[in-house]
Amino acid sequence: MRVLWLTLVLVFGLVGAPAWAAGGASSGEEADSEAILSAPGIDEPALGDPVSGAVLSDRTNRLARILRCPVCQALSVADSNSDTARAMYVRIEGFVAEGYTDEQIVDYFVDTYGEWVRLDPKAEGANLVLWLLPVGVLVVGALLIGASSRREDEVPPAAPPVAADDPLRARVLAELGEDS
Amino acid sequence: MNWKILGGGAAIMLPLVAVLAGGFGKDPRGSSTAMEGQKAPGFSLISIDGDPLALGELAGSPVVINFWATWCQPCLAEHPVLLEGSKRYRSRGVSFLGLLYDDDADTARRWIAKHGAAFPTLLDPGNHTAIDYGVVGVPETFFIDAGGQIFRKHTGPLTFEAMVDALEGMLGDVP
Repeated sequence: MRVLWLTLVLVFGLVGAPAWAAGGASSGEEADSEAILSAPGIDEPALGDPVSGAVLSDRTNRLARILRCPVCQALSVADSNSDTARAMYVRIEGFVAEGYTDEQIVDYFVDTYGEWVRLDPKAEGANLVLWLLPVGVLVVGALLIGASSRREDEVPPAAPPVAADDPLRARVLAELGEDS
Repeated sequence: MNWKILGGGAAIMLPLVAVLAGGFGKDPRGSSTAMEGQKAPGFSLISIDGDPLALGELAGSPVVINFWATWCQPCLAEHPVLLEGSKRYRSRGVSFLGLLYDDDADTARRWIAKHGAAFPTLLDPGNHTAIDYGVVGVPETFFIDAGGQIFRKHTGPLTFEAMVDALEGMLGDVP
């Protein structure tokens, strides 16, 4: 049973961590808004409304927390101080301000950097294993623990009654100094 | 030995090992070819000598864009390849452009004065154009065909063979 528990803890720790770690990302940093000559960005009209103020800041930070900094090891854009991450932050902020939706912005980065840019792997294809395996492990573990508990609760069958004239019984009683 | 536990553990671990082996077996940043086949993002930038240049000005001709930096040692290693390529393929209408990544004009000018140049180097403050191209690090080289599509993205220092392979493949596609 200890082996099973160790396996469950190991597997859940290894598989669950990368899939769900992004939820704990810290808040983003302010990025400089250095302007430069034109770069095209998203090649389609914005589907949302332009935003500013707190909404702009909140949405930018939320998007920066789910996108990976391309020059870092497992850090979000919001968590990195690298120049590239700051530039990505400014890019995100600009898109949000212009009225692009979250989906349009994430799609833009996926188009340029590939699926890898998502800190949360999309739950499709081979990535499904990462999402379903922890659940599967929990279900299988619960079933095994349940089955094991039922076996422990079962009362063992009673021993057959010993005949009064059984020689072995008589000998045991004699050695104990008891009368039959 | 408890074969049930062993079998259960194996059933749990094998898919995990397969996924991790697949993930650890490749460099996701290095192998990203997301931009290949896409329309090359346009840009309008200023060269380290102060001259404006837009990608649109080169429309209709193949372009090689090399993202580089003076602090990047592999960029120094590939520099002679790019110089040779720009000279050799000029007659076939191929334009070469350098885009400076995380660097400044003064340092780049000194670097070029020392190592030579055969094509313009553009400034990309904020790395905005690099982000539009999905650049992860330098050097990265993009081969853009005459139709404006990214034919190939090369990550890491460019070898002469890789450059010729990409250019010949790309120019072969031109009708």
